[in-house]
Amino acid sequence: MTETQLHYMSAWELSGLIRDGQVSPVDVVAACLARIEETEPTLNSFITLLPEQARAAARRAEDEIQRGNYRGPLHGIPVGLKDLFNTAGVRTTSGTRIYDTYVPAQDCTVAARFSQAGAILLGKLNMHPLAFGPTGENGDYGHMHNPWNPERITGGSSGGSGSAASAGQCHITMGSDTGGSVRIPAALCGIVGLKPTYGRVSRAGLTPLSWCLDHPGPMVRTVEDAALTMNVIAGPDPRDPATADVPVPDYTAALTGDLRGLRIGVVKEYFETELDSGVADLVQRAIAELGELGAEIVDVSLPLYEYAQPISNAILSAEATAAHRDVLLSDGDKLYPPVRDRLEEGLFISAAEYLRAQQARQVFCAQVDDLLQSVDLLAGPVEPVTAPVILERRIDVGGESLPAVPLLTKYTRVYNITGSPAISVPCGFADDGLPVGLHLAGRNFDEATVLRAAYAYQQANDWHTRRPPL
Amino acid sequence: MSTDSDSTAIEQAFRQAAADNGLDTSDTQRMADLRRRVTLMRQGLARLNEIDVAGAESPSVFVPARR
Repeated sequence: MTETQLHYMSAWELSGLIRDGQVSPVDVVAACLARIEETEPTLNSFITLLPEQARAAARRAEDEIQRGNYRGPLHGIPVGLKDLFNTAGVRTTSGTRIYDTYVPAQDCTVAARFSQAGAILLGKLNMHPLAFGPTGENGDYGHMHNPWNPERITGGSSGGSGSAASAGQCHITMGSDTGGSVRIPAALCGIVGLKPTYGRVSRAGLTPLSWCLDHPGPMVRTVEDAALTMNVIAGPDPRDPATADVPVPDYTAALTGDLRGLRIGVVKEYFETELDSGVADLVQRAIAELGELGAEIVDVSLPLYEYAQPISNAILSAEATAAHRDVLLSDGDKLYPPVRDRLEEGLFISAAEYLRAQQARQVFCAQVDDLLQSVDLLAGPVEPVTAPVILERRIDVGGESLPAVPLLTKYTRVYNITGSPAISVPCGFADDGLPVGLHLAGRNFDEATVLRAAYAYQQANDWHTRRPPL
Repeated sequence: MSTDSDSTAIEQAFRQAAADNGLDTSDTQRMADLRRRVTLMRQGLARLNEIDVAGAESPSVFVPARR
């Protein structure tokens, strides 16, 4: 088996081969490291690479499996973590040189669960500084580059996670999503990104951006790999009081390919705002295909959609500034200037405005909950455009020039406000050759239905098998 | 109608608020830029008042069971 096959193989396929001794984790890690050596000068996905640690872990995994101690489907599978997931003994920078030498003493819960499952940590992935931005820029460690066109952004803030999974540098990556930071790079890099329900996956040991909007989630090449990852990382955690004591199903059981009986609502407001016509066509075609596969497609309305940005802005900005106020005041001049600017703005949100936004959030959630009484899923675009050029501050959509940050987060913030599970699944390529994502969101704690629909769509297409020209 | 003295007073009030928040206000250009951005942000947040929030309690209610 060639290294190319190994580095682009899904964790789902690879796990059976590793379990049966047909493939060694040592060879898998070697294939990923070779791929990283080949592509990293272009992509800049990693802040810290751990080749020796990963090789040693692969040898241990091989030995354990040979002795009959197979731990499960992630045993021997390479994993990369966004560099705000604390890793014991491995520096965790949160994407800024201010924390360049910070070495946590304890793993975050997600890292600990991966470790327990036998997954192999390949390295820590590049990110927008402090996760406060949707583009994947980083002045300290270098900007991230989209594997489909390195002049374009990966999206952010989990940009390194997006490029690493897309380019075959790593089989499973993790991101965190406060306003779209898992789903945005997933859509722009042509991979699967799942933001689980708020409270489904522990935030313990992650650098916070907004305590009530942060969601850790998997970024992978296939829906099966998202399900496998969720089986390992989901569930209550005493270290995170926001996690819910809700039973965790076997997510792979949802991957039936059957959409009969499922009702999918198409939110009409999503298509009535600035949206590139090529992206709109691909998303509408994908939704129609879900109908052809057996789902019932209905139009629905979310009149409060236009308030998603101010609700999210008030909560996110105030909490981000509260979380990082000390570093802003002590080392503001060392922060990436656009991040510093946004943190400074948060100082001017009053407590009354913050609480008004939290009240409005409840009204907003009630409207989405009502919609999800009549349908099982909500569908729409993840992004209104394909990946823009790096450092482009305004983006042209249908002849109108719009600021990048609100544009790139216009669809994703909705489900950070509601906490609903939401996925980006590849649904084609626009005329510029760049990937587009289909957005599916479900009821709280019903990731299984989100994965079920995404999997059925994936299996009816071959978008997930396309590889970037690197 | 606003006057030059009104404008100066507003600018001074903003700088004082920035200083109260711990920011270094010595760079006049930075302060002017921050004030422009904060004005834009607050215009966006004002839209929250268009939503009828009657009956919606803030989730900041204290939940002793969690402690």
